[in-house]
Amino acid sequence: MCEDCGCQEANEKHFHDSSNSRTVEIETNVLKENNHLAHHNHHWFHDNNVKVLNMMSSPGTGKTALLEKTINTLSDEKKITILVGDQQTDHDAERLLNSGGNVKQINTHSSCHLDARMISRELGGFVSGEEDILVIENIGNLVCPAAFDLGENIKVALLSTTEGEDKPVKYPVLFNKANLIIITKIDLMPHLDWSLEKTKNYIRQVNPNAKIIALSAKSGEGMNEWVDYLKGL
Amino acid sequence: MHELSIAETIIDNVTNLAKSDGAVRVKNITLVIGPLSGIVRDTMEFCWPVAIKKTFLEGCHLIVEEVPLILHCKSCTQETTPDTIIMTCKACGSSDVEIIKGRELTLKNMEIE
Repeated sequence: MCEDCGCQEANEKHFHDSSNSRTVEIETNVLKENNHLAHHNHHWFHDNNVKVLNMMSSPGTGKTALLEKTINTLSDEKKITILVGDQQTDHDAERLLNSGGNVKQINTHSSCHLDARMISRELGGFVSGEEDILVIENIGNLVCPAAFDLGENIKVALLSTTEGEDKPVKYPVLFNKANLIIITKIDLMPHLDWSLEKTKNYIRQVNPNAKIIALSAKSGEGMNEWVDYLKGL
Repeated sequence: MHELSIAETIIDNVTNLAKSDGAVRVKNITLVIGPLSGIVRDTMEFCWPVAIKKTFLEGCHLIVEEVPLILHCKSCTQETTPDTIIMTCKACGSSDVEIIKGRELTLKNMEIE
């Protein structure tokens, strides 16, 4: 039986009499509402002179550890606000608060990504417009966040040395969109069969132009380049 | 699995458009997706019947049209489609390319009654 109408034509691809139906052309981007809000966010950031980074990676890449170190190093010079996305808990926000950051947790519950509306709700409130830099720590997920613009200036994709060199070609959509790609946990390199050159080659296959920074938040190696990048925004 | 939230967005958009067009039923909609849209066709088709249950679009067929990734090469000026999602010209191997097609996530049309 047809699931749609209850008729007895079992062929799932059957269509009913179309004499009363008509086709209406639409031709619009499905995400136009999100993109519209992202556009507004972008203008708000521009008007308030706030530089915004949207940081995306798989869970456990070390986004929070990197941000803890960044706050410690940079908070005397730059006013930084952080919005942290997670499905549940405020553990990351607590860690960043303990580092002295201005942090708010956004719990998305069933959603696997942050969208432009979740960010727009914070503008003019928690995100006051007085900050120099807003960092949005997206949900640990290499697929979904890539589809949703938030109005950011810079999309940052992170991958760690423990994840395998070919992650960029396995998840090309996110790595292709990134303006900056950070390779984390390089202090572990001596213990791993992992090649920085190979990883960079895989990144170049999906994104020939992105800036690449390799660093370790733990040892501090490469941190200067990242901090200088933020200072130069 | 953001396909479900994409499906919900489509349902909202199409419901508004169809009702304002005086429709009583939407028979099918056509969605165009490119490989850089971040949308997986199988996942989209899997969650569609669940998403439309008890909505204005209940019973609406989802037709998915996939468009290929097309790169324009600034070195040899050819337009090619790579075998996988890599930013390399298939003709000359240059990575000095721009994306012509492939990011689409477009609601193309709807058939209404």
